[in-house]
Amino acid sequence: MMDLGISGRGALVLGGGGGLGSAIAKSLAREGVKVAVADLVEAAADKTVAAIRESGGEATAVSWDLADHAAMESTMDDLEKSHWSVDILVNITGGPPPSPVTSQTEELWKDQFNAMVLSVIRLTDRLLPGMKERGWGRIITSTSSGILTPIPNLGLSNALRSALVGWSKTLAREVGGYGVTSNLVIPGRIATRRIVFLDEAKAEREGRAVEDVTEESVSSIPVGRYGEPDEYAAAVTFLASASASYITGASIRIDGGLIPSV
Amino acid sequence: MDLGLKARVYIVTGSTSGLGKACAAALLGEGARVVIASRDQARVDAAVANFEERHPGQVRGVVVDLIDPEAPHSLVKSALQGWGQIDGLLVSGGGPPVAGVMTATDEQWKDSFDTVFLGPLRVARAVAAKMSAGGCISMVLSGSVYAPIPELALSNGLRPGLAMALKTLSDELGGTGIRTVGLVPGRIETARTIELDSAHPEVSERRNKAIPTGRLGTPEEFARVAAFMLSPAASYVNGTCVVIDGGARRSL
Repeated sequence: MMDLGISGRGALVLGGGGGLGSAIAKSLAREGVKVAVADLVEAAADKTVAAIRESGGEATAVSWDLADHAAMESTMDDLEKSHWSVDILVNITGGPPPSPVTSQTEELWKDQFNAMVLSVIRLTDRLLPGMKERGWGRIITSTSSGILTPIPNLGLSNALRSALVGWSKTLAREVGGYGVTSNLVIPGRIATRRIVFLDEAKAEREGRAVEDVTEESVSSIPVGRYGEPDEYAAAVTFLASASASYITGASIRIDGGLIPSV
Repeated sequence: MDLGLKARVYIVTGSTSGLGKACAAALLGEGARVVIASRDQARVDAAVANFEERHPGQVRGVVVDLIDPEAPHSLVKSALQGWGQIDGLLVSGGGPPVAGVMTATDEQWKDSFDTVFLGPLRVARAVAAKMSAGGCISMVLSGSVYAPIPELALSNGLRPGLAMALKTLSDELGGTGIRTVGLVPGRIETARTIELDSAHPEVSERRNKAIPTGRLGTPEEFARVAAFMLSPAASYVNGTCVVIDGGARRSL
Protein backbone atom coordinates (compact mmCIF):
# COMPACT_ATOMS: atom_id res chain seq x y z
CA MET A 1 0.00 0.00 0.00
CA MET A 2 1.32 3.42 -0.92
CA ASP A 3 0.66 5.91 1.86
CA LEU A 4 -0.57 8.96 -0.01
CA GLY A 5 -0.01 11.19 3.00
CA ILE A 6 -3.35 12.99 2.83
CA SER A 7 -5.25 11.36 5.67
CA GLY A 8 -6.96 14.08 7.70
CA ARG A 9 -6.81 16.65 4.90
CA GLY A 10 -9.96 18.39 3.71
CA ALA A 11 -11.24 18.39 0.15
CA LEU A 12 -13.95 20.13 -1.84
CA VAL A 13 -15.12 18.21 -4.89
CA LEU A 14 -17.32 20.04 -7.36
CA GLY A 15 -19.82 17.98 -9.30
CA GLY A 16 -19.55 15.49 -6.44
CA GLY A 17 -22.95 14.03 -7.19
CA GLY A 18 -22.05 13.26 -10.81
CA GLY A 19 -20.21 10.33 -12.34
CA LEU A 20 -16.66 11.66 -12.16
CA GLY A 21 -17.07 13.77 -9.04
CA SER A 22 -18.66 11.06 -6.92
CA ALA A 23 -15.94 8.55 -7.87
CA ILE A 24 -13.28 11.12 -6.93
CA ALA A 25 -14.98 12.03 -3.65
CA LYS A 26 -15.22 8.38 -2.64
CA SER A 27 -11.65 7.66 -3.68
CA LEU A 28 -10.31 10.60 -1.64
CA ALA A 29 -12.41 9.50 1.33
CA ARG A 30 -10.85 6.04 1.18
CA GLU A 31 -7.49 7.75 1.75
CA GLY A 32 -8.82 9.35 4.93
CA VAL A 33 -9.64 12.72 3.37
CA LYS A 34 -12.66 14.65 4.73
CA VAL A 35 -14.67 15.49 1.65
CA ALA A 36 -17.11 18.34 1.12
CA VAL A 37 -19.24 17.08 -1.75
CA ALA A 38 -20.67 19.90 -3.86
CA ASP A 39 -23.40 19.54 -6.42
CA LEU A 40 -26.07 21.76 -7.86
CA VAL A 41 -28.48 18.91 -7.20
CA GLU A 42 -28.50 18.59 -3.43
CA ALA A 43 -29.91 15.08 -3.44
CA ALA A 44 -27.05 13.91 -5.66
CA ALA A 45 -24.47 15.34 -3.24
CA ASP A 46 -26.33 13.72 -0.34
CA LYS A 47 -26.16 10.35 -2.06
CA THR A 48 -22.36 10.54 -2.41
CA VAL A 49 -22.04 11.68 1.21
CA ALA A 50 -24.19 8.78 2.40
CA ALA A 51 -22.05 6.29 0.46
CA ILE A 52 -18.86 7.73 1.96
CA ARG A 53 -20.24 7.67 5.50
CA GLU A 54 -21.46 4.12 5.03
CA SER A 55 -17.88 3.06 4.29
CA GLY A 56 -16.69 4.82 7.43
CA GLY A 57 -15.47 8.00 5.74
CA GLU A 58 -16.13 11.61 6.65
CA ALA A 59 -18.13 13.82 4.29
CA THR A 60 -20.56 16.71 4.14
CA ALA A 61 -22.81 17.94 1.36
CA VAL A 62 -22.87 21.50 0.02
CA SER A 63 -24.95 22.89 -2.79
CA TRP A 64 -24.92 26.08 -4.76
CA ASP A 65 -25.22 27.21 -8.35
CA LEU A 66 -21.64 27.59 -9.63
CA ALA A 67 -22.65 30.68 -11.57
CA ASP A 68 -23.82 32.38 -8.36
CA HIS A 69 -20.84 34.19 -6.86
CA ALA A 70 -22.57 35.31 -3.67
CA ALA A 71 -23.84 31.81 -2.96
CA MET A 72 -20.31 30.44 -3.34
CA GLU A 73 -18.96 33.02 -0.86
CA SER A 74 -21.55 32.24 1.77
CA THR A 75 -21.17 28.47 1.32
CA MET A 76 -17.41 28.77 1.82
CA ASP A 77 -17.95 31.00 4.85
CA ASP A 78 -20.21 28.35 6.35
CA LEU A 79 -17.69 25.59 5.65
CA GLU A 80 -14.96 27.60 7.39
CA LYS A 81 -17.19 28.30 10.37
CA SER A 82 -17.61 24.56 10.79
CA HIS A 83 -13.78 24.25 10.77
CA TRP A 84 -13.68 22.56 7.40
CA SER A 85 -10.49 23.61 5.67
CA VAL A 86 -10.10 22.89 1.99
CA ASP A 87 -6.60 21.60 1.19
CA ILE A 88 -7.65 19.82 -1.99
CA LEU A 89 -9.92 21.51 -4.49
CA VAL A 90 -11.26 19.44 -7.37
CA ASN A 91 -12.81 21.72 -9.97
CA ILE A 92 -15.39 19.94 -12.10
CA THR A 93 -17.98 21.92 -14.00
CA GLY A 94 -20.91 20.66 -15.98
CA GLY A 95 -20.73 20.31 -19.71
CA PRO A 96 -22.42 22.96 -21.87
CA PRO A 97 -25.12 22.08 -24.39
CA PRO A 98 -23.69 20.48 -27.56
CA SER A 99 -23.44 23.06 -30.33
CA PRO A 100 -21.17 24.43 -33.05
CA VAL A 101 -19.21 27.62 -32.30
CA THR A 102 -20.96 29.59 -34.99
CA SER A 103 -24.23 31.46 -34.48
CA GLN A 104 -24.42 31.07 -30.72
CA THR A 105 -25.87 33.98 -28.81
CA GLU A 106 -23.60 36.29 -26.87
CA GLU A 107 -25.73 35.56 -23.85
CA LEU A 108 -25.01 31.83 -24.07
CA TRP A 109 -21.26 32.44 -24.34
CA LYS A 110 -21.34 34.75 -21.32
CA ASP A 111 -23.49 32.44 -19.24
CA GLN A 112 -21.29 29.45 -19.97
CA PHE A 113 -18.11 31.46 -19.35
CA ASN A 114 -19.53 32.45 -15.99
CA ALA A 115 -20.55 28.89 -15.09
CA MET A 116 -17.54 26.99 -16.43
CA VAL A 117 -14.60 29.37 -16.16
CA LEU A 118 -15.22 32.30 -13.86
CA SER A 119 -16.80 30.04 -11.23
CA VAL A 120 -13.59 28.01 -11.03
CA ILE A 121 -11.37 31.09 -10.91
CA ARG A 122 -13.44 32.75 -8.16
CA LEU A 123 -13.67 29.64 -6.02
CA THR A 124 -9.94 28.98 -6.31
CA ASP A 125 -9.19 32.61 -5.39
CA ARG A 126 -11.46 32.23 -2.38
CA LEU A 127 -9.69 29.10 -1.13
CA LEU A 128 -6.06 29.89 -1.99
CA PRO A 129 -5.24 32.15 0.99
CA GLY A 130 -6.02 29.26 3.37
CA MET A 131 -3.87 26.84 1.38
CA LYS A 132 -0.96 29.29 1.28
CA GLU A 133 -1.27 29.94 4.99
CA ARG A 134 -1.13 26.21 5.73
CA GLY A 135 1.70 25.76 3.22
CA TRP A 136 -0.02 22.95 1.37
CA GLY A 137 -2.64 22.73 -1.30
CA ARG A 138 -3.84 20.93 -4.40
CA ILE A 139 -5.88 22.53 -7.15
CA ILE A 140 -7.00 19.97 -9.67
CA THR A 141 -9.10 21.16 -12.57
CA SER A 142 -10.93 18.65 -14.71
CA THR A 143 -11.27 19.65 -18.34
CA SER A 144 -11.92 17.66 -21.50
CA SER A 145 -9.99 16.05 -24.34
CA GLY A 146 -11.51 18.88 -26.39
CA ILE A 147 -8.83 21.27 -25.13
CA LEU A 148 -6.27 19.31 -27.17
CA THR A 149 -8.45 17.74 -29.83
CA PRO A 150 -11.54 19.89 -30.34
CA ILE A 151 -14.65 17.70 -30.28
CA PRO A 152 -17.04 18.39 -33.17
CA ASN A 153 -20.25 20.03 -31.98
CA LEU A 154 -18.92 20.71 -28.48
CA GLY A 155 -17.83 24.19 -29.46
CA LEU A 156 -18.53 25.94 -26.17
CA SER A 157 -16.66 23.31 -24.21
CA ASN A 158 -13.67 23.30 -26.60
CA ALA A 159 -13.34 27.07 -26.47
CA LEU A 160 -14.15 27.83 -22.85
CA ARG A 161 -12.33 24.97 -21.13
CA SER A 162 -9.20 26.02 -22.99
CA ALA A 163 -9.21 29.23 -20.97
CA LEU A 164 -8.55 27.16 -17.86
CA VAL A 165 -5.44 25.63 -19.43
CA GLY A 166 -3.58 28.94 -19.43
CA TRP A 167 -5.07 29.84 -16.08
CA SER A 168 -3.94 26.62 -14.37
CA LYS A 169 -0.41 26.88 -15.79
CA THR A 170 -0.07 30.52 -14.74
CA LEU A 171 -1.43 29.70 -11.30
CA ALA A 172 1.14 26.90 -10.83
CA ARG A 173 3.96 29.43 -11.08
CA GLU A 174 2.25 31.94 -8.80
CA VAL A 175 1.63 29.48 -5.96
CA GLY A 176 4.54 27.05 -6.40
CA GLY A 177 6.50 28.55 -3.53
CA TYR A 178 3.68 27.90 -1.06
CA GLY A 179 3.51 24.12 -1.38
CA VAL A 180 0.43 24.46 -3.57
CA THR A 181 0.25 22.65 -6.89
CA SER A 182 -2.11 23.35 -9.78
CA ASN A 183 -2.77 20.73 -12.41
CA LEU A 184 -5.24 19.84 -15.11
CA VAL A 185 -6.72 16.43 -15.58
CA ILE A 186 -7.96 15.62 -19.04
CA PRO A 187 -10.53 12.88 -19.30
CA GLY A 188 -11.07 11.02 -22.51
CA ARG A 189 -14.32 9.15 -22.75
CA ILE A 190 -15.19 8.01 -19.25
CA ALA A 191 -18.39 5.99 -18.91
CA THR A 192 -20.69 8.47 -17.16
CA ARG A 193 -24.23 9.61 -17.87
CA ARG A 194 -22.77 12.59 -19.75
CA ILE A 195 -21.09 10.25 -22.25
CA VAL A 196 -24.31 8.27 -22.72
CA PHE A 197 -26.13 11.58 -23.30
CA LEU A 198 -23.53 12.76 -25.85
CA ASP A 199 -23.66 9.46 -27.72
CA GLU A 200 -27.46 9.60 -27.76
CA ALA A 201 -27.45 13.20 -28.97
CA LYS A 202 -25.01 12.36 -31.76
CA ALA A 203 -27.07 9.33 -32.79
CA GLU A 204 -30.18 11.45 -33.03
CA ARG A 205 -28.43 14.21 -34.98
CA GLU A 206 -27.01 11.77 -37.48
CA GLY A 207 -30.00 9.45 -37.61
CA ARG A 208 -28.02 6.42 -36.46
CA ALA A 209 -28.37 3.79 -33.76
CA VAL A 210 -26.79 4.70 -30.40
CA GLU A 211 -24.93 1.35 -30.34
CA ASP A 212 -23.41 2.25 -33.68
CA VAL A 213 -22.19 5.63 -32.40
CA THR A 214 -20.80 4.08 -29.22
CA GLU A 215 -19.02 1.31 -31.09
CA GLU A 216 -17.41 3.80 -33.45
CA SER A 217 -16.30 5.90 -30.50
CA VAL A 218 -14.86 2.94 -28.58
CA SER A 219 -12.94 1.73 -31.62
CA SER A 220 -11.16 5.10 -31.81
CA ILE A 221 -9.66 4.57 -28.34
CA PRO A 222 -6.39 2.59 -28.33
CA VAL A 223 -7.34 0.60 -25.21
CA GLY A 224 -10.62 -0.29 -26.93
CA ARG A 225 -13.05 0.70 -24.18
CA TYR A 226 -14.49 3.66 -22.29
CA GLY A 227 -12.75 4.40 -19.01
CA GLU A 228 -14.35 3.72 -15.65
CA PRO A 229 -14.98 6.65 -13.29
CA ASP A 230 -12.85 4.81 -10.71
CA GLU A 231 -9.88 4.84 -13.07
CA TYR A 232 -10.24 8.60 -13.47
CA ALA A 233 -10.62 8.96 -9.71
CA ALA A 234 -7.46 6.98 -8.98
CA ALA A 235 -5.34 9.34 -11.07
CA VAL A 236 -6.95 12.42 -9.52
CA THR A 237 -6.42 11.02 -6.03
CA PHE A 238 -2.78 10.37 -6.79
CA LEU A 239 -2.37 13.97 -8.02
CA ALA A 240 -4.02 15.18 -4.82
CA SER A 241 -1.58 13.20 -2.73
CA ALA A 242 1.68 14.09 -1.05
CA SER A 243 3.33 11.69 -3.50
CA ALA A 244 2.60 14.05 -6.41
CA SER A 245 4.40 16.96 -4.76
CA TYR A 246 6.66 17.66 -7.76
CA ILE A 247 3.90 17.60 -10.37
CA THR A 248 2.57 21.08 -11.00
CA GLY A 249 1.64 23.14 -14.04
CA ALA A 250 1.03 19.82 -15.74
CA SER A 251 -1.81 18.31 -17.73
CA ILE A 252 -2.44 14.67 -17.01
CA ARG A 253 -4.43 12.75 -19.59
CA ILE A 254 -6.60 9.88 -18.45
CA ASP A 255 -7.92 8.93 -21.85
CA GLY A 256 -6.81 5.41 -22.71
CA GLY A 257 -4.66 6.92 -25.46
CA LEU A 258 -7.59 8.66 -27.22
CA ILE A 259 -5.88 12.01 -27.86
CA PRO A 260 -3.90 11.39 -31.03
CA SER A 261 -0.92 13.63 -30.30
CA VAL A 262 2.10 13.47 -27.96
CA MET B 1 -3.85 3.44 -2.07
CA ASP B 2 -3.29 -0.10 -3.16
CA LEU B 3 -1.41 0.20 -6.44
CA GLY B 4 -1.84 -3.52 -7.08
CA LEU B 5 1.90 -4.01 -7.54
CA LYS B 6 2.31 -6.99 -5.23
CA ALA B 7 4.11 -9.90 -6.97
CA ARG B 8 4.04 -8.09 -10.33
CA VAL B 9 7.23 -8.31 -12.36
CA TYR B 10 9.09 -5.26 -13.68
CA ILE B 11 12.28 -4.74 -15.65
CA VAL B 12 14.05 -1.49 -14.81
CA THR B 13 17.13 -0.55 -16.81
CA GLY B 14 19.72 1.87 -15.51
CA SER B 15 18.58 0.89 -12.05
CA THR B 16 21.86 0.84 -10.15
CA SER B 17 21.89 4.62 -9.76
CA GLY B 18 19.87 7.80 -10.08
CA LEU B 19 16.25 7.82 -11.17
CA GLY B 20 16.26 4.17 -12.26
CA LYS B 21 17.42 3.03 -8.85
CA ALA B 22 14.85 5.18 -7.06
CA CYS B 23 12.10 3.77 -9.28
CA ALA B 24 13.22 0.19 -8.63
CA ALA B 25 13.15 0.93 -4.89
CA ALA B 26 9.63 2.36 -5.11
CA LEU B 27 8.35 -0.67 -7.03
CA LEU B 28 10.01 -3.07 -4.57
CA GLY B 29 8.54 -1.14 -1.68
CA GLU B 30 5.07 -1.81 -3.08
CA GLY B 31 5.78 -5.53 -3.25
CA ALA B 32 6.76 -5.82 -6.92
CA ARG B 33 9.53 -8.05 -8.23
CA VAL B 34 12.22 -6.23 -10.16
CA VAL B 35 14.96 -7.16 -12.61
CA ILE B 36 17.77 -4.70 -11.88
CA ALA B 37 20.01 -3.88 -14.84
CA SER B 38 22.94 -1.72 -15.80
CA ARG B 39 26.23 -1.96 -17.68
CA ASP B 40 28.52 -2.59 -14.75
CA GLN B 41 28.78 -5.96 -13.00
CA ALA B 42 30.04 -4.56 -9.69
CA ARG B 43 27.24 -1.98 -9.53
CA VAL B 44 24.60 -4.57 -10.40
CA ASP B 45 25.94 -6.91 -7.70
CA ALA B 46 25.97 -4.13 -5.14
CA ALA B 47 22.46 -2.93 -5.98
CA VAL B 48 21.03 -6.46 -5.94
CA ALA B 49 22.67 -7.22 -2.59
CA ASN B 50 21.39 -3.96 -1.18
CA PHE B 51 17.80 -4.46 -2.38
CA GLU B 52 17.81 -8.17 -1.54
CA GLU B 53 18.42 -7.34 2.11
CA ARG B 54 15.15 -5.41 2.38
CA HIS B 55 13.17 -7.34 -0.22
CA PRO B 56 14.40 -10.93 -0.18
CA GLY B 57 13.39 -12.95 -3.25
CA GLN B 58 12.10 -9.87 -5.11
CA VAL B 59 15.27 -8.97 -7.01
CA ARG B 60 17.30 -10.31 -9.91
CA GLY B 61 20.26 -8.64 -11.56
CA VAL B 62 21.37 -8.52 -15.19
CA VAL B 63 24.41 -6.82 -16.70
CA VAL B 64 23.50 -5.35 -20.10
CA ASP B 65 24.37 -2.46 -22.34
CA LEU B 66 21.31 -1.37 -24.32
CA ILE B 67 23.40 -0.71 -27.43
CA ASP B 68 23.89 -4.49 -27.60
CA PRO B 69 21.12 -6.00 -29.78
CA GLU B 70 21.10 -9.02 -27.45
CA ALA B 71 20.36 -6.90 -24.36
CA PRO B 72 16.54 -7.15 -24.60
CA HIS B 73 16.79 -10.93 -24.79
CA SER B 74 18.86 -11.12 -21.58
CA LEU B 75 16.40 -8.90 -19.73
CA VAL B 76 13.31 -10.78 -20.86
CA LYS B 77 14.97 -14.12 -20.13
CA SER B 78 15.87 -13.12 -16.59
CA ALA B 79 12.34 -11.98 -15.77
CA LEU B 80 10.70 -15.05 -17.27
CA GLN B 81 13.18 -17.47 -15.68
CA GLY B 82 12.74 -15.86 -12.32
CA TRP B 83 9.02 -15.30 -12.20
CA GLY B 84 7.43 -16.50 -15.45
CA GLN B 85 5.85 -13.18 -16.38
CA ILE B 86 6.53 -9.52 -17.20
CA ASP B 87 4.11 -6.78 -16.15
CA GLY B 88 6.12 -3.70 -16.86
CA LEU B 89 9.24 -2.08 -18.20
CA LEU B 90 10.91 1.15 -17.22
CA VAL B 91 13.77 2.28 -19.42
CA SER B 92 16.03 4.70 -17.61
CA GLY B 93 19.57 5.61 -18.55
CA GLY B 94 22.12 8.33 -19.00
CA GLY B 95 21.73 11.18 -21.43
CA PRO B 96 23.87 11.90 -24.48
CA PRO B 97 26.99 14.10 -24.29
CA VAL B 98 26.86 17.89 -24.21
CA ALA B 99 27.02 19.40 -27.69
CA GLY B 100 25.36 21.99 -29.91
CA VAL B 101 23.82 21.42 -33.31
CA MET B 102 26.84 23.15 -34.86
CA THR B 103 29.39 21.22 -32.81
CA ALA B 104 28.09 17.65 -32.51
CA THR B 105 29.87 15.30 -34.90
CA ASP B 106 28.17 12.76 -37.17
CA GLU B 107 29.75 10.10 -35.01
CA GLN B 108 28.13 11.58 -31.88
CA TRP B 109 24.72 11.68 -33.56
CA LYS B 110 25.02 8.04 -34.63
CA ASP B 111 26.23 6.89 -31.21
CA SER B 112 23.52 8.89 -29.45
CA PHE B 113 20.88 7.46 -31.75
CA ASP B 114 21.96 3.99 -30.61
CA THR B 115 21.94 4.80 -26.89
CA VAL B 116 19.08 7.30 -26.65
CA PHE B 117 16.70 5.98 -29.30
CA LEU B 118 17.35 2.52 -30.69
CA GLY B 119 18.44 0.85 -27.44
CA PRO B 120 15.29 1.81 -25.49
CA LEU B 121 13.03 1.09 -28.48
CA ARG B 122 14.50 -2.38 -28.98
CA VAL B 123 13.91 -3.29 -25.33
CA ALA B 124 10.35 -1.94 -25.49
CA ARG B 125 9.63 -4.03 -28.56
CA ALA B 126 11.06 -7.23 -27.07
CA VAL B 127 9.33 -6.79 -23.73
CA ALA B 128 5.98 -5.90 -25.33
CA ALA B 129 6.06 -9.19 -27.21
CA LYS B 130 6.28 -11.14 -23.94
CA MET B 131 4.26 -8.92 -21.64
CA SER B 132 1.10 -9.83 -19.77
CA ALA B 133 -2.15 -7.99 -20.56
CA GLY B 134 -2.49 -4.97 -18.30
CA GLY B 135 1.26 -4.34 -18.46
CA CYS B 136 2.93 -0.99 -18.96
CA ILE B 137 5.92 0.14 -20.97
CA SER B 138 7.46 3.29 -19.65
CA MET B 139 10.52 5.38 -20.39
CA VAL B 140 12.29 8.14 -18.54
CA LEU B 141 12.45 10.87 -21.19
CA SER B 142 13.56 14.48 -20.81
CA GLY B 143 12.22 18.00 -20.92
CA SER B 144 13.81 18.08 -24.38
CA VAL B 145 10.70 16.24 -25.60
CA TYR B 146 8.93 19.62 -25.38
CA ALA B 147 11.53 22.35 -25.40
CA PRO B 148 15.19 22.42 -26.42
CA ILE B 149 17.70 22.36 -23.58
CA PRO B 150 20.73 24.57 -24.33
CA GLU B 151 23.82 22.55 -25.28
CA LEU B 152 21.92 19.27 -25.35
CA ALA B 153 21.32 19.19 -29.09
CA LEU B 154 21.66 15.42 -29.20
CA SER B 155 18.91 15.00 -26.62
CA ASN B 156 16.78 17.71 -28.24
CA GLY B 157 17.07 16.00 -31.59
CA LEU B 158 16.43 12.43 -30.47
CA ARG B 159 14.13 12.40 -27.43
CA PRO B 160 11.08 13.85 -29.22
CA GLY B 161 11.40 11.03 -31.74
CA LEU B 162 11.47 8.47 -28.96
CA ALA B 163 8.39 10.02 -27.34
CA MET B 164 6.60 9.78 -30.68
CA ALA B 165 7.70 6.16 -31.15
CA LEU B 166 6.31 5.39 -27.68
CA LYS B 167 3.00 7.00 -28.67
CA THR B 168 2.95 4.95 -31.87
CA LEU B 169 3.60 1.83 -29.82
CA SER B 170 0.58 2.54 -27.62
CA ASP B 171 -1.59 2.74 -30.75
CA GLU B 172 -0.18 -0.52 -32.04
CA LEU B 173 -0.54 -2.34 -28.70
CA GLY B 174 -3.99 -1.04 -27.87
CA GLY B 175 -5.81 -4.29 -28.41
CA THR B 176 -3.41 -6.21 -26.18
CA GLY B 177 -4.15 -4.28 -23.01
CA ILE B 178 -0.57 -2.99 -22.78
CA ARG B 179 -0.14 0.70 -21.99
CA THR B 180 2.75 3.08 -22.63
CA VAL B 181 3.63 6.13 -20.54
CA GLY B 182 6.53 8.54 -20.98
CA LEU B 183 7.93 10.12 -17.81
CA VAL B 184 9.44 13.55 -18.25
CA PRO B 185 11.62 14.63 -15.35
CA GLY B 186 12.62 18.23 -14.76
CA ARG B 187 15.58 18.94 -12.53
CA ILE B 188 15.81 16.10 -10.03
CA GLU B 189 18.43 15.95 -7.31
CA THR B 190 20.41 12.93 -8.50
CA ALA B 191 24.16 12.53 -8.01
CA ARG B 192 24.62 13.55 -11.67
CA THR B 193 22.58 16.74 -11.30
CA ILE B 194 24.46 17.71 -8.15
CA GLU B 195 27.75 17.09 -9.94
CA LEU B 196 26.70 19.14 -12.98
CA ASP B 197 25.40 21.96 -10.78
CA SER B 198 28.57 22.17 -8.74
CA ALA B 199 30.51 22.93 -11.93
CA HIS B 200 28.49 26.12 -12.56
CA PRO B 201 26.96 27.08 -9.22
CA GLU B 202 25.67 30.54 -10.26
CA VAL B 203 24.03 29.27 -13.42
CA SER B 204 22.40 26.39 -11.55
CA GLU B 205 21.17 28.61 -8.77
CA ARG B 206 19.51 30.96 -11.23
CA ARG B 207 17.99 28.06 -13.13
CA ASN B 208 16.72 26.33 -10.00
CA LYS B 209 15.15 29.54 -8.70
CA ALA B 210 13.13 29.73 -11.91
CA ILE B 211 11.37 26.46 -11.02
CA PRO B 212 7.90 27.38 -9.68
CA THR B 213 8.29 25.06 -6.68
CA GLY B 214 11.58 26.85 -5.96
CA ARG B 215 13.54 23.64 -5.52
CA LEU B 216 14.79 20.53 -7.27
CA GLY B 217 12.70 17.39 -7.10
CA THR B 218 13.90 14.39 -5.15
CA PRO B 219 14.47 11.02 -6.84
CA GLU B 220 11.83 9.59 -4.47
CA GLU B 221 9.23 12.12 -5.62
CA PHE B 222 9.88 11.11 -9.21
CA ALA B 223 9.86 7.42 -8.32
CA ARG B 224 6.48 7.50 -6.58
CA VAL B 225 4.94 8.90 -9.76
CA ALA B 226 6.68 6.21 -11.81
CA ALA B 227 5.37 3.48 -9.49
CA PHE B 228 1.83 4.81 -9.84
CA MET B 229 2.00 5.13 -13.62
CA LEU B 230 3.46 1.62 -14.02
CA SER B 231 0.80 0.12 -11.75
CA PRO B 232 -2.70 -1.17 -12.52
CA ALA B 233 -4.03 1.86 -10.59
CA ALA B 234 -3.17 3.96 -13.68
CA SER B 235 -5.05 1.61 -15.98
CA TYR B 236 -6.58 4.37 -18.16
CA VAL B 237 -3.43 6.46 -18.53
CA ASN B 238 -2.01 5.51 -21.91
CA GLY B 239 -0.09 6.94 -24.84
CA THR B 240 0.91 10.08 -23.03
CA CYS B 241 3.79 11.77 -21.24
CA VAL B 242 3.64 12.82 -17.60
CA VAL B 243 5.80 15.78 -16.67
CA ILE B 244 7.35 15.77 -13.17
CA ASP B 245 9.24 19.04 -13.09
CA GLY B 246 7.92 21.28 -10.35
CA GLY B 247 6.25 23.38 -13.06
CA ALA B 248 9.53 24.25 -14.79
CA ARG B 249 8.28 23.70 -18.31
CA ARG B 250 7.28 27.07 -19.70
CA SER B 251 4.93 25.91 -22.42
CA LEU B 252 1.44 24.47 -21.99
